Amino acid sequence: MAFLIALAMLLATVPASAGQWTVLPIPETIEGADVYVALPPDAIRAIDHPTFVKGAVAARQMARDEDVLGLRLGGVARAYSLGHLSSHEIVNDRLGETPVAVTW
Amino acid sequence: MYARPLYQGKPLTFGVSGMLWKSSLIMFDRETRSLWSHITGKAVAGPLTGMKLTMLPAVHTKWGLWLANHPNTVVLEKRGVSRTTPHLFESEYVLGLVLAGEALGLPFDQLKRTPLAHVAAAGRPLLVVYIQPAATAVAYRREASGRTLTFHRLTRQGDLWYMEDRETGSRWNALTGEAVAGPLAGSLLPPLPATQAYLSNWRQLYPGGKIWAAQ
Repeated sequence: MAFLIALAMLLATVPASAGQWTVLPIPETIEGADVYVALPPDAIRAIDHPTFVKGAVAARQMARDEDVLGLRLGGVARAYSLGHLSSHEIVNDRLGETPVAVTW
Repeated sequence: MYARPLYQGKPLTFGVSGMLWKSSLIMFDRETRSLWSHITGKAVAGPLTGMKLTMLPAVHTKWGLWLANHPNTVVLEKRGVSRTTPHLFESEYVLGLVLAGEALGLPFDQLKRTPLAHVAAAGRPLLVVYIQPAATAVAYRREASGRTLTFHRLTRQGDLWYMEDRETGSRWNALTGEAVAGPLAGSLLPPLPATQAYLSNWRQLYPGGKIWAAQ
């Protein structure tokens, strides 16, 4: 449902050029449940080349009570603002040796 | 949060399909154009149908709390459009666990009453810690050094939260699962991958799953 609300907020802001005409098969149902097409593929662009700032100096972009998704893996800790994620939905990232997909 | 599996030697990359299924986002991978549920991590259509992504133990929390517990963290740089997170209805959230095919949902309004919840799934003793001011739920296996532990005394020191185990009296950071003092100092409770979702949505995706209730 968070996604639906974020989607509704985005509908007004996505530029027409955002899509790259990715064509996907669209099943009518999956496991008996309906599939709805809300937007073309890639109208919401995943982040493929994420960049990071050090937490200690991130005060200018982060509020203390901001929702984040945090992951610590192999001694590396990363956080992703959910507000920022709602504009992209997915980050294709890598923590050390592990390729990860950040979704919420 | 998932590990991206290799396909023909390279990790899959995911995009947003624009489709909705059971009220949730469908992702696609650019390599095979299979469709994936972002909540279950399962490929539901296309060549990779049936494949399951490995979930990673990410924590949904507040920035202040995350930074205090992980001082060396980095954070995704914000570029372009950003907005404040819509504050939704935290009381309707559930922490969702799937162990050996067994789904267990722990509603936040139940965890509020039992912030150190000792539960079992697939026969394994688990602990779910709930930090109410930050609406943060974290799950662990409650096993360390070959013994099963039970916890009490959840206390706060600023942005750090601690708990104690009854068996050894060791003190643990409740948000990282690390023992910081006592006989087990240096031990780590294995973190458990979990999903934070709306209860109604979780029920749709795991219709046969158990929903936990506080005693």
